[in-house]
Amino acid sequence: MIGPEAISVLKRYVPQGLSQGIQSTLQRFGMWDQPLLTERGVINDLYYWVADGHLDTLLPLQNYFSVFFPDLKTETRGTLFLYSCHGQKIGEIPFTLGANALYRLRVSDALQRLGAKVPEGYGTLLCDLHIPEEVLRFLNPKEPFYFWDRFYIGYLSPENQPCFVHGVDKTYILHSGRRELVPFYPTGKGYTWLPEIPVNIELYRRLWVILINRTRTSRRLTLTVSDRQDACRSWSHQIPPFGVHRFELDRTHTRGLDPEEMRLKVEGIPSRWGRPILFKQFPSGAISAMHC
Amino acid sequence: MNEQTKKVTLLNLISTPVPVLNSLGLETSVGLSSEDPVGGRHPSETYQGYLTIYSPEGTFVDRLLLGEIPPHRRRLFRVSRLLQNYFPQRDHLVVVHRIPQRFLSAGRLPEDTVELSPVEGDYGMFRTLVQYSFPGGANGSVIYETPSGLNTRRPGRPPSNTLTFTSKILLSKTVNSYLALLYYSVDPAFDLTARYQFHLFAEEGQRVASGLREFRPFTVQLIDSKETIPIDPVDRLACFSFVGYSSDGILIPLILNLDTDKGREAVAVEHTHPAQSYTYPFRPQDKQKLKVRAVQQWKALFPTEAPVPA
Repeated sequence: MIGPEAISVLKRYVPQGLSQGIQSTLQRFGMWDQPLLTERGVINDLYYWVADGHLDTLLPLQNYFSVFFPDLKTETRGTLFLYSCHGQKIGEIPFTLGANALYRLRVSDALQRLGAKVPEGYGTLLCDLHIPEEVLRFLNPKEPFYFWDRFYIGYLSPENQPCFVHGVDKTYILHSGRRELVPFYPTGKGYTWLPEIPVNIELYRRLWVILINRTRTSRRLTLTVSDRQDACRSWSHQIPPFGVHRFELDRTHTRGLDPEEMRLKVEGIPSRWGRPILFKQFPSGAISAMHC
Repeated sequence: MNEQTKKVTLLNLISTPVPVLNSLGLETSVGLSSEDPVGGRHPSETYQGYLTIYSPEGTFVDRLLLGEIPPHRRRLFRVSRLLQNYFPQRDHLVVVHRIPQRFLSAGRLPEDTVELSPVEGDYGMFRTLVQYSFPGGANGSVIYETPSGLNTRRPGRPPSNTLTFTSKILLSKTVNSYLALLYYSVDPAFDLTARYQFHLFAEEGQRVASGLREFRPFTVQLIDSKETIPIDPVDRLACFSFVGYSSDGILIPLILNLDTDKGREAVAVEHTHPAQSYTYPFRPQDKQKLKVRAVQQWKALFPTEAPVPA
């Protein structure tokens, strides 16, 4: 495998066209596990959305360029890409965003605008904010520079009670001036995550353990729930490329286990930081979500 | 000291500062694990949990033993129950520490230091689950840890700085958003006051509120969006964005979205990414330069002389 020092040398000294050729050759032989960031652009993550007639998803997208460059003109454009839980594209919605502004959209409204029917009621989305022209001019044209958009996504109960999670990983690169979505991770691996949360399943009407495949490789993921006596239950699911799966837990799924201070383990995660989202639904109708 | 090893106070090996938000009527619990969340760096072993308590003014008050976390286990500790006799009406900071039992078995105290190699001392991503709820209500939780070397004095260099931004500020008749800002240091003698300036923007980008706060070390303060933003909340959720900054130190923000509707009292809580994690420059040191430049530009746009009372 090519080490980080070699990548750094390649970025610094090899002309862009040639280095991209070297990269694609090395990728073909499985010797390159990260993209060549030799231009300027934005690294985006894939997010979970739900709009099932009960829960909804709220995007309050902040113009983060205005935060880094309050002295520059940071009006910009963006595109929201919606995908099904199987990773298939549903549609895209372009938008504009003023300086210090928020682009606010409910996913249920976006699906309506696209005339899309999604029977599963959930999937993934990606949002690309273009680097404003004045910011591009400010950045040194001789040096690569990327932003990593790690925006916050909100979920709403039917009564508009909100909760949020943030982006945790990388999925696509969008180079400035181009529309091609370049996958950040060429191939999926099989990582393990051991969430710290002690789960008391009796508190929840339902607990979803949500996992996104951020790679081009279909992957089988396994969720194991163990109790304080080390009794356990496991479930597995094959997640297609850029798809998402929700492992659903409630008292019936964990019957026979001690319900307090249970622990979770997820195996087969395709990307290093693609750890699960826990989505809690309470008997009162309240919701909350967190990244592990 | 061996060149490869580093002295670490056991209390700073794995820790998380936690705001206790009594003024909001919230109960606080913390969840601790005895496993490496990423897997593989440290075999699971027994840990001891400790809780350091600071007063609302930032004075050290007490240190309690939370309890043991056996190997391959999770434990939930109800911090509010332990703190019943400490500042029941006021917000204050506590710090949760986790120490491997093997370090303490050698007769050491939590306050002692150990000398560890980079591999032995790599407890990055060992985080604490911080959970809030109204009594008997639904809980919201978030997971984070103390950033390495947080707010330590660096002779000859300027202090650390903060650039915060978030879009999680929502208001309606029943929903309010609070920013809990934590000012903590891994150095118990740290004494630098931090000035933190902030602005709130409406959806279209116009500034609707600004403020300035002063923080003493080891304290927490809340910014109440409903009190700060001059609008009459309606049924529909109103969205705002937040930008805050300080050249004096690092403040850790937690954002709480509370729904106080009767029968549905709910809490959601999230932290924010540090600004530097949004950039991927060619030279890693440019992350910091860009952040410092941004703070300077905000200060130039909104100069202020006198602090606004908290």
